[in-house]
Amino acid sequence: MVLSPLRTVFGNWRYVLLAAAVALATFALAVWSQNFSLLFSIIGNPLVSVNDKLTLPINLLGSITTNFTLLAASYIIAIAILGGINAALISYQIRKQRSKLSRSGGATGAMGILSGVLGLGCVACKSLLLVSLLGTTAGAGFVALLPLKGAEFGIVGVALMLVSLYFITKSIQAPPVCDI
Amino acid sequence: MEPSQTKSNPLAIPIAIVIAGAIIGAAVLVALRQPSNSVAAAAQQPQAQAVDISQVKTSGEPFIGNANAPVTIAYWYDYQCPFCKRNEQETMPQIIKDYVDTGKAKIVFKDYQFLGDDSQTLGKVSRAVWETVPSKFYQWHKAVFDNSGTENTGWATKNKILSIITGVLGAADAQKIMALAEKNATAYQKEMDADRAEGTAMGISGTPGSIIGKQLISGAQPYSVFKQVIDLTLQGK
Repeated sequence: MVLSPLRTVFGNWRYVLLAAAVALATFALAVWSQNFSLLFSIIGNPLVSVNDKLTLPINLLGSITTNFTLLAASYIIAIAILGGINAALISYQIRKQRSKLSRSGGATGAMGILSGVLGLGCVACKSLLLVSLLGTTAGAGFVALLPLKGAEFGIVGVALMLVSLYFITKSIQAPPVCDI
Repeated sequence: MEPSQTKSNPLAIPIAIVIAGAIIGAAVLVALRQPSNSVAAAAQQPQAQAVDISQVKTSGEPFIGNANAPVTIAYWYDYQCPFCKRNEQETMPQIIKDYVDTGKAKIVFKDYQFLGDDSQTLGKVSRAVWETVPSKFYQWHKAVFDNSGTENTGWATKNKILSIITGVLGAADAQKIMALAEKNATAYQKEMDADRAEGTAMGISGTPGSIIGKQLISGAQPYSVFKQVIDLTLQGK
């Protein structure tokens, strides 16, 4: 049921490109999220060479192997890929069918991304978002109570993205109807 | 009536990209808000200040390397943080080999013990080690990470700590250090709390966190990131 719409959509290279771009952007933002200030500071510094400005973002991507657990790295990659696929499917639905965007699919996908982001910092001895909202001590205390130390948010994120994928492909497969 | 699927919108793909970017961007922006934005946190934490190594208190703090090295790396850590452990085992040896041993940089160790009682205990003992045998501080520091147990299980018992110190410094110094840590517990705790507050004010919100020059590196980053930031700081000297 899911495969047929996927074949249709990704038979067009534009949607493959869109999915890859969104997946890469999501992955990069997730991995860079702790070091945006460093990135902006180096990229915005006129005294820093172009080579350094280009290599720092690439070097920071390497932290997927040093700054995340295997579980966290897995769900970050999964959310990025699923986010890319969802974006391509939504785009196809809007462009080809001009039907109303599957509300359940779109909303679930957005919640999936947000949940994934919520779990991002938990893996690096803090929760970026929870710390922002609760303060370091309370944030760390809350995360410590969770059995997977915050990875729960990432897992929920992947699940929500899968649900979103299901709703959107189902919506794409629905027979075209005339607007009344 | 014409089926609606025959019509298309050429702006659909760009709009979809913008929407996806906006969702991610909004989430990241919320995540990037400093702890001081929260009402509860604002009451507890010092006012944020610019990231600048010259503003970090380094005197009296444990360090390795040439005291007059052109670059100073201030490094906040928690003894129970698994990413600090990874940083110590994978990245730090290379930084020490290429920059500390060559006299280009020194590493100042700043406490950010926040993960539990075992972290606090080890932080205090660490200060006693620095006070007693500063030349062996890093060996002790590394040995703690190499021998650390499961977070917050009470693994940092007196016997366990004694065995780590004994392995590095010998039995005689071990007893002396434990006694000093007990005697100065209140003063050491104050110093540790001050380190953490200072780090928080400069934007450190978790461990590991490092300040080099005017740059803050969050998390256990690969050696290539540290190398690049250290080299840029050296170029600016």
